[in-house]
Parts: sequence; structure tokens; C-alpha cells
Amino acid sequence: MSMLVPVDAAGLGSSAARSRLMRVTVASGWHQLKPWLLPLAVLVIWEISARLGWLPRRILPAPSHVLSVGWELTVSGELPKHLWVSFRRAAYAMAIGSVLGIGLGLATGLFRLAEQLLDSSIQMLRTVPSLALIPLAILWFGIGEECKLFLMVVGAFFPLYITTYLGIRSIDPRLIEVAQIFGLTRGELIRHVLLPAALPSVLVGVRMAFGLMWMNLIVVETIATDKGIGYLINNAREFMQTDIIVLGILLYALLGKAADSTVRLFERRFVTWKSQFAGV
Amino acid sequence: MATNRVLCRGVSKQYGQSIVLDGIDLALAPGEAVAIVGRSGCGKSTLLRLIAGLDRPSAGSIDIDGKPLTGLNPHARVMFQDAALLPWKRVIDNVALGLLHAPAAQRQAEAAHALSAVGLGPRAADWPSVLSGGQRQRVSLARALACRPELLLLDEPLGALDALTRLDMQVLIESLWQSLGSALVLVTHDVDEAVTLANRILVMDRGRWTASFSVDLPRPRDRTAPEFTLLRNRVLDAVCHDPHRLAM
Repeated sequence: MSMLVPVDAAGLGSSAARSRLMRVTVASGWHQLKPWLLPLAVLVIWEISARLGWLPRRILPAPSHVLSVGWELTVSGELPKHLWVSFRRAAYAMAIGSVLGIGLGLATGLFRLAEQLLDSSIQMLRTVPSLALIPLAILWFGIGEECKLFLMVVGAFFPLYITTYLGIRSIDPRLIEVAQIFGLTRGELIRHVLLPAALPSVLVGVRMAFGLMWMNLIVVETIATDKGIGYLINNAREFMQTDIIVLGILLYALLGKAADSTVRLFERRFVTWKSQFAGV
Repeated sequence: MATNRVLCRGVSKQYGQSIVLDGIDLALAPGEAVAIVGRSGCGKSTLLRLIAGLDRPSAGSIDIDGKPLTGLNPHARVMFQDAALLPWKRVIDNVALGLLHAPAAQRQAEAAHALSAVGLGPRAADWPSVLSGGQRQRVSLARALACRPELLLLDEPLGALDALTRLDMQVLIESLWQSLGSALVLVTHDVDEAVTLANRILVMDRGRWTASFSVDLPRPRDRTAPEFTLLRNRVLDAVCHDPHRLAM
């Protein structure tokens, strides 16, 4: 009997450990699942409503139907073509907008002369809604790619400019004093103090820039295009293909989410030093 | 006689209408530890900023090693009340901040050495945000000491720490100062701290010296010794004595 006790205890211990492990795994799975609960619930309710005939197909086709249409278009090569064009436009616009926005933001943030020369003009232009520039952009660039790129770059530029400039200007002056005392040169001050201090703010700007650029992409892809998701949606409207319209909107949402996740990944990699409030 | 490490003559500082420093003289020998005590707002931190070269005096001159100070004081390292660590640099890289111009191997070695001197060797790879207030101040001290400065300026370095941590830090500062042999200026409102660390205590009020004490107690100082208490009371009297204040 006494021989059995340790065996029993060990058995209990290991099963307790196993169930703890299970709980941990389940808990972390649950944690990762939480953000997807709402979209999943919406999809399920939507599917059921469509199947039961509460939603006419002309108004809102079932998700499964949208998915199958998406699959058909993918196989035919139609969808990848449009997707690639939209993606390429977005990538170009983000690249140009980042270079201009972060570049000018750095210039006005770091150098007082650049600030005096440029900042008030840029702040003035910022208040103009970029979509109000559509007629002007068409007159300047025609209705081709340049016009679209211009409007998307404008959308990306301002958030990047402002967050970069503010990121540099909101640094604790004490840290600059420390850099001076420890003999850092101007270049070292920029590299070791000002740029890292501005990075979190710049990354917030990147996320906002993605948002605005995306919005402008959707608008410019409905004017005078024959490629891109926007064209796909617009064309589908002419033939009352609600399923393709819904497919296009879902694709926009997915691409936006992908862009945001990429920036978050970047944040986690490079702004690890910042301890943030994670909510209650 | 060796030149004075720091020599202030008739130094004044004025911000607009208010006179913060009013004709201050100060001579600091190499290896000497001077404590400046006074009420808050008496001008003691301003004097420290002038010696560091972070500000320019409105009148008077400051000589460092016999040469007039223009711009930043390259021999001085300052430690502030808030540790002022760069939050995006790991502890070891913060300590190495003053060694950027040294070769990489030497920089790493000296930073690691300074960090272990303050007892934080194992925290080298941590971010400053996860350290306690006392640990941050120790990193700040290591950063100031890593480049072996000839002049160490401490601006109420322990003011934000709890009493126990403060005692530990005083012991640490004393031993590091002794092994380094640099001159030390300690600005503080804690009279006990001044008597513990300094060779000489200067009392400031409204931008002028009002008293001076030399501290000839053997190190490390025994806070319970009658001589310590006696001196502390005299300094305290001098700090609290205020001819301009109405009698209560």
C-alpha cells in the first residue's frame, strides 16, 4: 500500500501537469481566436440567412457563393490579373509616398531652416481633401496610371509627413542634453537619438497612410480604368453581378488587413523597447 | 600647486529679470568632492549646468583645467535626478553612449566593466523600461563613469529614490569616486548625503554662498558618530537659517 502512494502521487502529478498544459494550449488558442470571432459569426449568420432565402441573391449572395465565384475567377486568371494591378499601384504609391513623406518630415523635424521654409505650406495643403484634387489630377496627368498614382501618393504623404515631423519634435529635450554631454556629434545625435525616438510615431503614420492611400485607391480605380479590383467592382455593377461586387469589397478588406498586419509585425520587431498599455 | 579642475570667478546667471546666480566663486581641486546644498530653486542646479557647459553664464568666467570654458565641457559627465536613459537602447548600449568614438572591442569591454562596477552586469541586455528606479540610476551612474571623466557632476542624483536605495547608492558612489580619482560636484538638498560624500560642503541661498564647511571625517563615514551628527546639524542650521524670512 505504502509502495503505491508515490506511484499514485506521481500519476496524479503528471496528469495535473498534462491538464495544465492542455489549459495553457487551449487558452493561447482561444486568445488567438478572439479577433476572428466577430467576422466568423457575421459570415455564419450571413450564410444561414442567404440559404434560408431571407437575403435575395441580388441584394447579398451567400459567402459560399461569393467564394465559388472567386475561385472561378481565380482559375480563369481574371482575378489574379486585377489583384496584381491593384497591389502594384498600392506598392508604388506607398513607396513614393513614404520617401516623400518621411523624407520631408525628417527634413522639417531635424532642420529649422527646412521647417521655416516648408512646414506651414505643407500644413496648408494638408487640409485640402485629396479627392478634391481629382479634376486637377486628370487635367495634369490625363486619366492614365500617373493620375491614379498621384492621388494615392497624396493620400499616403500627409500622415507620414506629420507623424515623422511630430515624432522628432516631441522627443524629451533632456535626452538631447544627455547626447550633448556625452559628446555625440550631430550625425550621431540623429542616428542614436532622434531617429529611434521618431520611429514609433512614424509607424503609426505608416498605418494611417495605408488607410488613406487605400481609400484613394478604391476611388481612383472606379474612374476610367480597365484593370484593378475597382474596375472589377464597377464593371460588375453594370451587369448587376452582386457576387463580384461583394468579392471585390472582401478583397479590399483582406488586403487592408494584410497591410496593417505587416506594419504591426514591423512594430513588434523594431519597437520592442516600448512597454505599452495593453488594455484592462 | 596643481591647477584647479574648475575655477569659477564672479559667475552670474540671469533669466530675464530674475537673478539666479549672483557672483559665485568656486575652486575645485582634482580629486576633490564638493557638495552644494540649498533649498530648491536656490540656483545650485544652474551652477552645475554652467560648469557642464549646457548654459552660458551672464557674467563672470569659468576655467576648466586653467582654460576658459567655451561650449560644452568635454571633461564633465552629468548624472541627473531622472536617469535620462535612452529607452530604445539596451542597458549596455546606454552605458556605452559616451564611448561611441572608441574602437568597438574597447567600447564593449569598458561598458561591461562599468556596468558590473554598479552591480548590474547581468542586466546588460535588458531594456531600461523594465528596470527599477534605483537600477536606472545605477545604469546612469555607470554611463557617466564608463568614460572615466575627470569631473563628475551629480545633480540631485538620488532625489527620486527611496531611503534604503539611497544609502546603497551613496556607498556605491563613494567607492567608485575613490577608485576613479575624478573631481566630484554633488548638488543635493539632503544634508546627510552631503556629509557622507563630500570633502567640502557649500551652502547656497538665492544665488550666493552663505556658508562653507570642510568635512574631515574618516571614510567611510559613520552616520552614528557624534562628529557626523554635529556637523550635520551645523550644515542644517546654515541651510535653514534665512535672515530674510519672517520669524515664526
